[in-house]
Amino acid sequence: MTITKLVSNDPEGAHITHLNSGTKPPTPSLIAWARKAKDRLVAYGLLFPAMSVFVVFFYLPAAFLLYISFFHWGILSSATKFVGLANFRTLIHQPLFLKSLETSGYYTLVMIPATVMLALGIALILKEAVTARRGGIWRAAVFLPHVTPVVATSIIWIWIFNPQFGLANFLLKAIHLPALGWLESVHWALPAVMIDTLWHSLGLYVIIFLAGLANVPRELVEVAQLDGAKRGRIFRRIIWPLLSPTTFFVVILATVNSWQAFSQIYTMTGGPHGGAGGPAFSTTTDALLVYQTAFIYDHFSLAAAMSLVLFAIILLLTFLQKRISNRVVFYR
Amino acid sequence: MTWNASLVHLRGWCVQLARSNEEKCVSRVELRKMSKQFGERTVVNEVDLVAEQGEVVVLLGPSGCGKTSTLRMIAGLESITYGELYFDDRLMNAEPPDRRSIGMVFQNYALYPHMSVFDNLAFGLESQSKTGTRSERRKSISERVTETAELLEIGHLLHQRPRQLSGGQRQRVSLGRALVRKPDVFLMDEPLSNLDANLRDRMRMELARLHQVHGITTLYVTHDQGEALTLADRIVVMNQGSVCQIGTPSDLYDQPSSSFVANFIGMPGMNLWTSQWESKGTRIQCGPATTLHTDFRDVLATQSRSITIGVRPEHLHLIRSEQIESSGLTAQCRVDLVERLGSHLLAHCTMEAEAGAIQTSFVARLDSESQVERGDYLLLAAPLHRVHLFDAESGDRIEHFSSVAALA
Repeated sequence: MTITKLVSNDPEGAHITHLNSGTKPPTPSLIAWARKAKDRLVAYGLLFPAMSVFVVFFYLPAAFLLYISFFHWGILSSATKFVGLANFRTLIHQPLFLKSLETSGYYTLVMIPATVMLALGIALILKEAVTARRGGIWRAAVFLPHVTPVVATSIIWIWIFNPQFGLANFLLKAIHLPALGWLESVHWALPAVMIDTLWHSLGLYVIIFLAGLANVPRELVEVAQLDGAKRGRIFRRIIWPLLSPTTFFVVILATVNSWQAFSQIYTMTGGPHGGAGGPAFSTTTDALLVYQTAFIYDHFSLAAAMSLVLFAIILLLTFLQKRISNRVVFYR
Repeated sequence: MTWNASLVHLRGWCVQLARSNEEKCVSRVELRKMSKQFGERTVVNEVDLVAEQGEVVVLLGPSGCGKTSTLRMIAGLESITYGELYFDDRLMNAEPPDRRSIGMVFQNYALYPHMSVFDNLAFGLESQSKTGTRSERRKSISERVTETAELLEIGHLLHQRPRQLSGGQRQRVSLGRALVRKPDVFLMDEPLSNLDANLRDRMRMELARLHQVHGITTLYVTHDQGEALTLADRIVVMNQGSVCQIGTPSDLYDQPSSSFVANFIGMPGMNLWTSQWESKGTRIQCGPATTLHTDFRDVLATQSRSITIGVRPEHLHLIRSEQIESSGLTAQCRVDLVERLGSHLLAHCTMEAEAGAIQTSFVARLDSESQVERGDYLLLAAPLHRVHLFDAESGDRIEHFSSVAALA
């Protein structure tokens, strides 16, 4: 390598290389090229199995989705017709689609702060317990809901939210609060789903926050204590800023998961419960509407256009968050 | 008002006056039987220690000897298992760290990485000050920070982040952060051990200079005896959680209280060898190779049959056999290795031992002009007042007449 470089840097040397290239012994640069080509071949060979799976199950469907969003396309019909942006135009004039975006936005807007606050709160409490003798049990207990199947636990939550004999209303009555309709109420169906989702997903975020907290050097907290700072101030000025990369990661994850939330909403308020998603479409998020449009009403092209809009929203939000993070997040 | 109460009152008034004049504000630190146990394990065992006002006390010992735990208990970062801690006459056991008025410097600096140097220094002041309007407070904080930064020559770095600084600069910032609040007690936990050798020597001098300026009572933890000997008014040598000896640097050097201290202090440490001894008229024979010429056998007569003899490498000198004096120590040995260090040389020697005993090796620090080669047989001598005797079993010092007389 060095030899080739030296030769090509020097004009006279370059001349020599040029002369040599015609004769029998291969030039150093040719050997280097061959070596590089061989390395590349090996690299692509190793990548091939994984890449082929990825292409078949991810890139091709994604490309196909983009393709059908500009057509009228049915899974059983052969009449495929190019319609340009007609699908997107239909969406804009579709009140249910706009409402579903609103519902998704509301869901995300509540879920992000709730996730961050609860997960961080639990992590801060657990942090003390982690060093204790049975810390592992606590961590496992918090993480356990996350590894249970969403559909199965959502069914349990349906029972909990049953207005007549569910646990939720029993507890509300116990503290003299009015019972709620929960999944049968326009206003409380989505919050009920949120509670289920929080219960199910918090474990993961708690573990992520615990890892982040473990990375905050103990000395910094000690020094701040000696500097006369009280708990609140230590959290605000030391722990929170140093935790910001973790928090940012959790926010991104929670955003994506919220926009894509489907299983628990479908199980609790879709399918057997009227198919639509809550009373008066109160829990019909964008993801749920995509499913219904495609698989219940057979409008695959329209559903494809919807998911593209959803994709664009998530992309835009992540991009915005990244921009904001450059100013807010502190990386060591 | 009783006499005592009025004294206390007067004292409080003096302290207040001193603070209002921004005078040196110092505190006396006293440890009474202070101990730390982690479960069954005793890490610090009944440490008694007094650091007088304005004194620099160095806790010195090998790693794991409990010196850092002691410091952390004084800071309030570690609870005290039993025993008492006093600042002046106030019992501090139950006080949280933020109410002890302590400035602490950590080995890895522990600077707030997300704050500028200015904010690092100001953080403690912001927690502290509660009086005056916002702008007044900000102004006084800014003045204090600038003043401290000038003292430490980091004024030009105030707007940088810690990661942009070199190790030495970080250490200065860390010192500044501890100093800026004018604490009553200064604690340093191996502050120089992350610096390279040159910088460490410079910072050591700097620390000594700083202490002359601020005069704050300082407890300093290190395993480096060079730092201890330069900085300390008094040194506390610790081993396995207990205090071995407390004294001035020269106390420790001239009269180590045990063979551990003797070997730990000094570069290289004191040569120690244990042997059976027998009295032969005016001399005492310890093994086949060592002879102690002394007139006061009565001191030794009371001790056990086996003693540990200690001589510092720098107190040994070469003699010829006809030069053997009537008092002092002589030892015969063979040279294994010669280290030439420019100003002097270190001869690593082995001494012939009695049958079955382990061969004793020791070091002599000799003049660089000495004609010493590997394999040479040497006769080394040391004056009697430079010979230390220790009980072979307990390691405790045995006072002998000449060592006392020489110092008197």
